[in-house]
Amino acid sequence: MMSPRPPADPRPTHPALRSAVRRGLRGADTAGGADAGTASLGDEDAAEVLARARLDRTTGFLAAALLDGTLDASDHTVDAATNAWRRSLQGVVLVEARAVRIAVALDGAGVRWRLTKGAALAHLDYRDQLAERTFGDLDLMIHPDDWTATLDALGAAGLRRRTPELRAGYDLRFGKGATLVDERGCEVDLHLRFAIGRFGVRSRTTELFERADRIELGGRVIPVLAGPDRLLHACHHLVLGGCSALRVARDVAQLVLVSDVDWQATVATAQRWRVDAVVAAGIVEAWERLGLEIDHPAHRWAMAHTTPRGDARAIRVFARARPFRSQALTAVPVLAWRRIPTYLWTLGPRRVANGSAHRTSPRG
Amino acid sequence: MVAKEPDDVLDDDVMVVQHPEVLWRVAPSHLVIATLDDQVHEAVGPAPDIWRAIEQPTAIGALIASLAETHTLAPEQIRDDVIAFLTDLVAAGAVQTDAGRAR
Repeated sequence: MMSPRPPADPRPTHPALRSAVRRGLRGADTAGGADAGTASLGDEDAAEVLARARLDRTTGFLAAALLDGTLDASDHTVDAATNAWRRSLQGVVLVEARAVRIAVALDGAGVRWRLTKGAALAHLDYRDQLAERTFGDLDLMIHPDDWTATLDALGAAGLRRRTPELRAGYDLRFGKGATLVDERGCEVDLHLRFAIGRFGVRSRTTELFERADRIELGGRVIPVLAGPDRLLHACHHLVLGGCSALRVARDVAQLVLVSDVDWQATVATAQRWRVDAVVAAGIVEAWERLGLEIDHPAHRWAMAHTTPRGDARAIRVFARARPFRSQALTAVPVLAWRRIPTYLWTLGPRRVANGSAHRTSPRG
Repeated sequence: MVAKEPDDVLDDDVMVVQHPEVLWRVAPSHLVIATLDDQVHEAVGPAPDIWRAIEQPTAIGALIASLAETHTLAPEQIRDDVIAFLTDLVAAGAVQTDAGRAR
């Protein structure tokens, strides 16, 4: 398949960082591929690679590869990467402490929710590299019928929306969710959908609450998206998310190659939602970004997938990191005609108190 | 097990175990722990070994003996440091003990 998604980030990934992020991925260490023979990080590149790793939250992979000798570098570079990793781990345990407090609030309110992305993936999909998979915020999938109860419960717990709802009712009808912040400015991302725009409005996320995995955090049982649904979310994040692509590429490959999740169940859900183009693009992009040459049926399926022209066009809008409105407008061709005026109305300029018009760029 | 008894003297017969209500990660020679009230504690060196060893209730004497064997040291060489570290963890609410109870 020709990938419908050109890389959003024009900076090439340094081979040493890519090699570090591949480390531990079944089959990738011995399969040769794009980085065969490149296992050193020179001082001239170290600062840039470390900055990139901090940005992408891949310091754990980088430091672990340096500490175990998979990657060669000066002592100064090893120390700098190790210190960056340790700082990330402070953030990780604080995010998990917050997750436990939020679980108490949501369970108390009877909300149906699932933990997803960082903490969920780290515990269930990186069991042998748990500390290496770092994260900096909390992502929760919320059942749409419990959206208001969720906002009320977390509001009572001291969290506030970072930006107001675009227009009344937008979140539930079309939105991706909302970002809440606590008194320290720490983020909690509440998801109603995996994406805005064309693929978001096609999704039927209530299905995600028919199944769950579970982890234990701080002595509390936490519901987590089921494995195939974690892969579905990771593909959306990689293809439509716009940042941290190397780490998210690793997540997709990890779910397929290490966790061995039922990728065919992922595809089945994606086909019901008509977002299979996102899953195919996600798997292809993960292989490309990591330089994998591993034969796997999921990759063969993705390579053979025929992406409808409209889906490919929409994916390219996200790949080019176009503004929120452009991404949101990819939904218009797939909306029922009766919904289009309302949808466009919600995206239009919003009148604020002083009479000036402005656009918000909500989380979606 | 008692959640926090920092004033109790820890000795070889005291049982210690990770407190279930903490969040933690271990990296090479590094341990980071957070309690639910957002207190973060870090330790380096053999701290990850000690932390792993008390996932299940363990007598401090047995813990010291095991660590000494692993690191080919005499128990006396590490006893004070291990007990000091455990005392800090108990005070932080990261470790439970049965100290102060009839044994």
